[in-house]
Amino acid sequence: MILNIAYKGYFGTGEIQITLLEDATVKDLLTQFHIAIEESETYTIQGGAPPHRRAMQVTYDYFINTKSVRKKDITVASLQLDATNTVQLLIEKGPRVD
Amino acid sequence: MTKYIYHKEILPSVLESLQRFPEEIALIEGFPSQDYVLNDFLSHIGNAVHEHLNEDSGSIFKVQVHHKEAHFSSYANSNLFFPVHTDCSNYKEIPEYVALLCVTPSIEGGESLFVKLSELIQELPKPLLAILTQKHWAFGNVYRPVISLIQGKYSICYNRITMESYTDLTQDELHILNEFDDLCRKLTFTLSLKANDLIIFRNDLLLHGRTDFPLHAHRVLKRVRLYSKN
Repeated sequence: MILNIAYKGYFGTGEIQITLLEDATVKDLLTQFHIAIEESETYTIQGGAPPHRRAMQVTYDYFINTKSVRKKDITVASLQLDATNTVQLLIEKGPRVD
Repeated sequence: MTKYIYHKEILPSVLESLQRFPEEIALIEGFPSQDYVLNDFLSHIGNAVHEHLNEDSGSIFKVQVHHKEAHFSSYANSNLFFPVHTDCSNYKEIPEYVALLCVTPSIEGGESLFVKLSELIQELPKPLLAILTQKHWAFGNVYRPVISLIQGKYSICYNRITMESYTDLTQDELHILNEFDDLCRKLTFTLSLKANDLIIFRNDLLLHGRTDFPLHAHRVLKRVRLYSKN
Protein backbone atom coordinates (compact mmCIF):
# COMPACT_ATOMS: atom_id res chain seq x y z
CA MET A 1 0.00 0.00 0.00
CA ILE A 2 1.08 3.55 -0.61
CA LEU A 3 0.59 6.09 2.13
CA ASN A 4 0.91 9.83 1.90
CA ILE A 5 2.04 11.17 5.26
CA ALA A 6 1.88 14.75 6.43
CA TYR A 7 4.08 14.95 9.49
CA LYS A 8 4.69 17.63 12.06
CA GLY A 9 6.23 17.94 15.49
CA TYR A 10 9.81 17.37 16.55
CA PHE A 11 11.13 16.96 13.00
CA GLY A 12 9.30 20.01 11.67
CA THR A 13 6.62 19.73 9.06
CA GLY A 14 6.64 17.96 5.72
CA GLU A 15 4.97 15.48 3.45
CA ILE A 16 6.32 12.16 2.25
CA GLN A 17 5.06 9.07 0.52
CA ILE A 18 5.97 5.59 1.71
CA THR A 19 5.23 2.14 0.35
CA LEU A 20 4.39 -0.69 2.72
CA LEU A 21 3.49 -4.35 2.36
CA GLU A 22 -0.20 -5.10 2.82
CA ASP A 23 0.46 -6.82 6.16
CA ALA A 24 2.85 -4.12 7.44
CA THR A 25 2.59 -3.18 11.10
CA VAL A 26 2.50 0.27 12.64
CA LYS A 27 6.09 -0.37 13.69
CA ASP A 28 6.98 -0.94 10.01
CA LEU A 29 5.22 2.28 9.08
CA LEU A 30 7.16 4.28 11.65
CA THR A 31 10.46 2.63 10.70
CA GLN A 32 9.87 3.48 7.05
CA PHE A 33 8.95 7.01 8.04
CA HIS A 34 12.23 7.48 9.90
CA ILE A 35 14.18 6.01 6.99
CA ALA A 36 12.39 8.38 4.63
CA ILE A 37 13.18 11.49 6.67
CA GLU A 38 16.68 10.16 7.53
CA GLU A 39 16.24 10.53 11.28
CA SER A 40 16.89 7.99 14.03
CA GLU A 41 13.93 6.22 15.65
CA THR A 42 15.34 7.03 19.09
CA TYR A 43 16.81 9.94 20.96
CA THR A 44 19.13 10.21 23.92
CA ILE A 45 18.17 11.25 27.42
CA GLN A 46 21.09 11.98 29.66
CA GLY A 47 22.26 13.88 32.66
CA GLY A 48 24.19 13.97 35.87
CA ALA A 49 27.67 15.10 36.68
CA PRO A 50 30.59 12.68 36.43
CA PRO A 51 31.04 10.02 37.79
CA HIS A 52 27.26 9.50 37.84
CA ARG A 53 26.54 10.73 34.35
CA ARG A 54 24.34 8.30 32.43
CA ALA A 55 22.68 8.22 29.02
CA MET A 56 20.12 6.00 27.34
CA GLN A 57 18.06 5.80 24.18
CA VAL A 58 14.29 6.18 24.18
CA THR A 59 11.60 6.25 21.52
CA TYR A 60 9.41 9.13 20.37
CA ASP A 61 5.68 9.48 20.97
CA TYR A 62 3.50 9.24 17.86
CA PHE A 63 -0.03 10.29 17.04
CA ILE A 64 -1.70 9.07 13.84
CA ASN A 65 -4.69 11.17 12.84
CA THR A 66 -4.61 12.70 16.36
CA LYS A 67 -4.81 9.27 18.08
CA SER A 68 -1.92 8.27 20.31
CA VAL A 69 -0.04 5.23 19.01
CA ARG A 70 0.07 2.77 21.89
CA LYS A 71 0.39 -0.54 20.06
CA LYS A 72 2.91 -0.83 17.27
CA ASP A 73 2.56 -4.55 16.59
CA ILE A 74 -0.88 -4.18 15.03
CA THR A 75 -1.24 -3.97 11.26
CA VAL A 76 -1.59 -0.65 9.51
CA ALA A 77 -4.65 -2.13 7.78
CA SER A 78 -6.37 -2.45 11.16
CA LEU A 79 -6.19 1.33 11.55
CA GLN A 80 -8.59 1.54 8.62
CA LEU A 81 -6.83 4.56 7.19
CA ASP A 82 -8.45 6.09 4.16
CA ALA A 83 -5.88 5.50 1.40
CA THR A 84 -7.23 8.46 -0.56
CA ASN A 85 -6.48 10.85 2.31
CA THR A 86 -3.16 11.97 3.67
CA VAL A 87 -2.24 10.43 7.01
CA GLN A 88 -1.52 13.00 9.71
CA LEU A 89 1.49 12.00 11.82
CA LEU A 90 2.58 13.95 14.88
CA ILE A 91 5.96 13.11 16.45
CA GLU A 92 6.86 14.35 19.91
CA LYS A 93 9.56 13.84 22.49
CA GLY A 94 7.30 12.56 25.23
CA PRO A 95 8.31 12.65 28.87
CA ARG A 96 10.63 9.72 29.42
CA VAL A 97 12.43 10.64 32.60
CA ASP A 98 10.49 10.01 35.80
CA MET B 1 13.96 10.22 59.40
CA THR B 2 10.99 9.20 61.50
CA LYS B 3 10.53 5.45 61.68
CA TYR B 4 7.31 3.54 62.37
CA ILE B 5 6.13 -0.03 62.34
CA TYR B 6 2.82 -0.40 60.56
CA HIS B 7 -0.35 -0.93 62.55
CA LYS B 8 -3.89 0.15 61.84
CA GLU B 9 -3.75 3.24 64.07
CA ILE B 10 -0.47 4.57 62.73
CA LEU B 11 -1.92 7.26 60.45
CA PRO B 12 -2.35 10.16 62.95
CA SER B 13 1.29 9.85 64.07
CA VAL B 14 2.54 9.88 60.48
CA LEU B 15 0.37 12.88 59.58
CA GLU B 16 1.62 14.80 62.59
CA SER B 17 5.22 13.98 61.77
CA LEU B 18 4.87 15.09 58.16
CA GLN B 19 3.35 18.37 59.31
CA ARG B 20 5.81 19.08 62.12
CA PHE B 21 8.97 17.89 60.40
CA PRO B 22 8.39 18.51 56.70
CA GLU B 23 11.96 17.78 55.70
CA GLU B 24 12.03 14.41 57.44
CA ILE B 25 11.31 11.17 55.63
CA ALA B 26 8.55 9.08 57.20
CA LEU B 27 9.51 5.40 57.04
CA ILE B 28 6.83 2.84 57.85
CA GLU B 29 8.08 -0.72 58.08
CA GLY B 30 5.86 -3.71 57.43
CA PHE B 31 3.38 -1.82 55.27
CA PRO B 32 0.87 -4.12 53.54
CA SER B 33 1.54 -4.61 49.84
CA GLN B 34 -2.07 -4.43 48.64
CA ASP B 35 -2.79 -1.44 46.41
CA TYR B 36 -6.07 -0.60 48.12
CA VAL B 37 -4.38 -0.34 51.52
CA LEU B 38 -1.71 1.94 50.07
CA ASN B 39 -4.21 4.14 48.26
CA ASP B 40 -6.49 4.39 51.27
CA PHE B 41 -3.62 5.29 53.61
CA LEU B 42 -2.17 7.91 51.27
CA SER B 43 -5.58 9.46 50.58
CA HIS B 44 -5.38 10.97 54.08
CA ILE B 45 -2.09 12.67 53.21
CA GLY B 46 -2.91 14.11 49.80
CA ASN B 47 -4.68 13.77 46.52
CA ALA B 48 -2.96 11.19 44.35
CA VAL B 49 -1.87 12.10 40.84
CA HIS B 50 -3.52 9.84 38.26
CA GLU B 51 -1.42 9.44 35.12
CA HIS B 52 -1.65 7.34 31.98
CA LEU B 53 1.79 5.87 32.64
CA ASN B 54 0.54 4.37 35.91
CA GLU B 55 -1.04 0.94 36.30
CA ASP B 56 -4.52 1.18 34.72
CA SER B 57 -3.99 4.97 34.55
CA GLY B 58 -4.51 5.03 38.31
CA SER B 59 -2.34 6.41 41.08
CA ILE B 60 0.32 3.69 41.31
CA PHE B 61 3.39 3.55 39.09
CA LYS B 62 5.66 0.53 39.31
CA VAL B 63 9.26 1.65 39.39
CA GLN B 64 10.90 -1.37 37.82
CA VAL B 65 12.96 -2.26 34.79
CA HIS B 66 10.62 -2.14 31.81
CA HIS B 67 11.39 -2.19 28.13
CA LYS B 68 9.61 -0.74 25.17
CA GLU B 69 10.91 -2.06 21.85
CA ALA B 70 14.36 -2.96 23.14
CA HIS B 71 14.73 0.37 24.93
CA PHE B 72 13.84 1.27 28.50
CA SER B 73 10.35 2.81 28.67
CA SER B 74 11.72 5.71 30.68
CA TYR B 75 14.72 6.60 32.79
CA ALA B 76 12.75 5.58 35.90
CA ASN B 77 12.18 2.20 34.23
CA SER B 78 15.89 1.59 33.78
CA ASN B 79 18.49 0.14 36.15
CA LEU B 80 20.71 3.20 35.84
CA PHE B 81 21.94 5.52 38.56
CA PHE B 82 19.26 8.20 38.86
CA PRO B 83 20.81 11.49 40.02
CA VAL B 84 18.91 13.22 42.81
CA HIS B 85 15.91 15.03 41.42
CA THR B 86 12.40 16.34 41.94
CA ASP B 87 9.56 14.25 40.53
CA CYS B 88 7.30 15.93 37.95
CA SER B 89 9.70 18.83 37.41
CA ASN B 90 8.01 19.47 34.05
CA TYR B 91 4.55 19.84 35.61
CA LYS B 92 3.06 23.30 36.15
CA GLU B 93 2.21 22.31 39.72
CA ILE B 94 4.66 19.98 41.40
CA PRO B 95 3.18 17.35 43.73
CA GLU B 96 4.30 18.05 47.31
CA TYR B 97 4.67 14.42 48.34
CA VAL B 98 6.12 11.24 46.91
CA ALA B 99 5.43 7.85 48.48
CA LEU B 100 7.50 4.78 47.61
CA LEU B 101 6.56 1.30 48.78
CA CYS B 102 9.32 -1.24 48.35
CA VAL B 103 7.88 -4.49 46.98
CA THR B 104 11.17 -6.19 46.09
CA PRO B 105 14.55 -4.64 46.86
CA SER B 106 17.58 -5.30 44.74
CA ILE B 107 20.05 -7.59 46.50
CA GLU B 108 22.79 -5.37 45.15
CA GLY B 109 22.55 -1.60 44.58
CA GLY B 110 19.28 0.26 44.07
CA GLU B 111 19.69 2.22 47.31
CA SER B 112 17.57 5.35 47.68
CA LEU B 113 19.43 8.66 47.77
CA PHE B 114 18.28 11.90 49.36
CA VAL B 115 19.46 15.48 49.76
CA LYS B 116 17.78 17.98 52.07
CA LEU B 117 17.08 21.42 50.66
CA SER B 118 17.94 23.14 53.96
CA GLU B 119 21.43 21.63 53.85
CA LEU B 120 21.86 22.74 50.25
CA ILE B 121 20.85 26.28 51.17
CA GLN B 122 23.39 26.29 54.02
CA GLU B 123 26.22 25.00 51.88
CA LEU B 124 25.61 26.68 48.53
CA PRO B 125 28.11 29.43 47.72
CA LYS B 126 26.21 32.73 47.50
CA PRO B 127 26.84 33.29 43.76
CA LEU B 128 25.55 29.81 42.93
CA LEU B 129 22.52 30.23 45.19
CA ALA B 130 21.77 33.52 43.45
CA ILE B 131 21.86 31.86 40.03
CA LEU B 132 19.67 28.98 41.17
CA THR B 133 17.07 31.30 42.68
CA GLN B 134 17.02 33.91 39.92
CA LYS B 135 17.57 32.16 36.63
CA HIS B 136 14.55 30.44 35.06
CA TRP B 137 15.51 27.06 33.65
CA ALA B 138 13.54 25.00 31.16
CA PHE B 139 11.96 21.83 32.50
CA GLY B 140 10.41 20.66 29.25
CA ASN B 141 7.97 23.46 28.44
CA VAL B 142 7.87 24.85 31.97
CA TYR B 143 10.29 27.56 33.07
CA ARG B 144 11.13 28.08 36.73
CA PRO B 145 14.08 28.61 39.08
CA VAL B 146 15.73 25.59 40.67
CA ILE B 147 15.28 27.10 44.12
CA SER B 148 12.32 29.35 44.93
CA LEU B 149 11.75 31.55 47.95
CA ILE B 150 8.06 32.26 48.43
CA GLN B 151 6.69 33.87 51.60
CA GLY B 152 9.91 33.12 53.43
CA LYS B 153 9.92 29.43 52.53
CA TYR B 154 12.34 27.76 50.16
CA SER B 155 11.34 25.00 47.76
CA ILE B 156 13.29 23.12 45.11
CA CYS B 157 12.65 21.78 41.63
CA TYR B 158 15.56 20.04 39.99
CA ASN B 159 15.88 17.27 37.46
CA ARG B 160 19.13 17.32 35.56
CA ILE B 161 18.03 14.66 33.09
CA THR B 162 14.86 16.54 32.12
CA MET B 163 16.77 19.82 31.92
CA GLU B 164 19.50 18.38 29.74
CA SER B 165 17.50 16.04 27.54
CA TYR B 166 14.71 18.35 26.45
CA THR B 167 16.66 21.59 26.13
CA ASP B 168 20.00 22.53 24.66
CA LEU B 169 22.05 23.82 27.58
CA THR B 170 25.15 25.94 27.09
CA GLN B 171 28.57 24.93 28.44
CA ASP B 172 28.21 27.65 31.08
CA GLU B 173 24.86 26.25 32.17
CA LEU B 174 26.25 22.72 32.30
CA HIS B 175 29.12 23.99 34.40
CA ILE B 176 26.66 25.54 36.87
CA LEU B 177 24.72 22.29 37.10
CA ASN B 178 27.92 20.28 37.56
CA GLU B 179 28.85 22.51 40.47
CA PHE B 180 25.39 22.04 41.96
CA ASP B 181 25.54 18.26 41.42
CA ASP B 182 28.93 18.14 43.15
CA LEU B 183 27.40 19.74 46.22
CA CYS B 184 24.39 17.42 46.04
CA ARG B 185 26.75 14.46 46.02
CA LYS B 186 28.51 15.71 49.14
CA LEU B 187 25.21 16.12 50.99
CA THR B 188 23.58 12.90 49.81
CA PHE B 189 22.49 10.34 52.36
CA THR B 190 21.47 6.78 51.55
CA LEU B 191 18.56 4.62 52.57
CA SER B 192 18.35 0.89 51.84
CA LEU B 193 14.72 -0.11 51.67
CA LYS B 194 13.50 -3.57 52.65
CA ALA B 195 10.41 -5.27 51.30
CA ASN B 196 7.26 -3.60 52.69
CA ASP B 197 9.05 -0.40 53.71
CA LEU B 198 6.96 2.63 52.80
CA ILE B 199 8.64 6.02 52.67
CA ILE B 200 6.80 9.31 52.33
CA PHE B 201 8.70 12.52 51.75
CA ARG B 202 8.30 16.09 50.53
CA ASN B 203 9.07 16.32 46.83
CA ASP B 204 9.67 20.07 47.07
CA LEU B 205 12.00 19.93 50.09
CA LEU B 206 14.11 16.86 49.35
CA LEU B 207 15.78 15.62 46.21
CA HIS B 208 15.70 11.87 45.72
CA GLY B 209 17.46 9.39 43.46
CA ARG B 210 18.84 5.88 43.39
CA THR B 211 22.05 4.01 42.75
CA ASP B 212 22.60 1.63 39.82
CA PHE B 213 21.44 -1.95 40.25
CA PRO B 214 21.83 -5.12 38.14
CA LEU B 215 19.53 -5.29 35.13
CA HIS B 216 17.89 -8.53 36.24
CA ALA B 217 17.56 -7.68 39.93
CA HIS B 218 13.72 -7.57 39.83
CA ARG B 219 13.71 -4.44 41.99
CA VAL B 220 10.13 -3.15 42.29
CA LEU B 221 8.84 -0.07 44.08
CA LYS B 222 5.28 1.25 43.96
CA ARG B 223 5.23 5.02 43.58
CA VAL B 224 2.41 7.44 44.33
CA ARG B 225 2.68 11.20 43.92
CA LEU B 226 0.42 13.40 45.99
CA TYR B 227 -0.78 16.97 45.95
CA SER B 228 -1.13 18.35 49.44
CA LYS B 229 -4.71 18.82 50.63
CA ASN B 230 -3.75 22.27 51.88
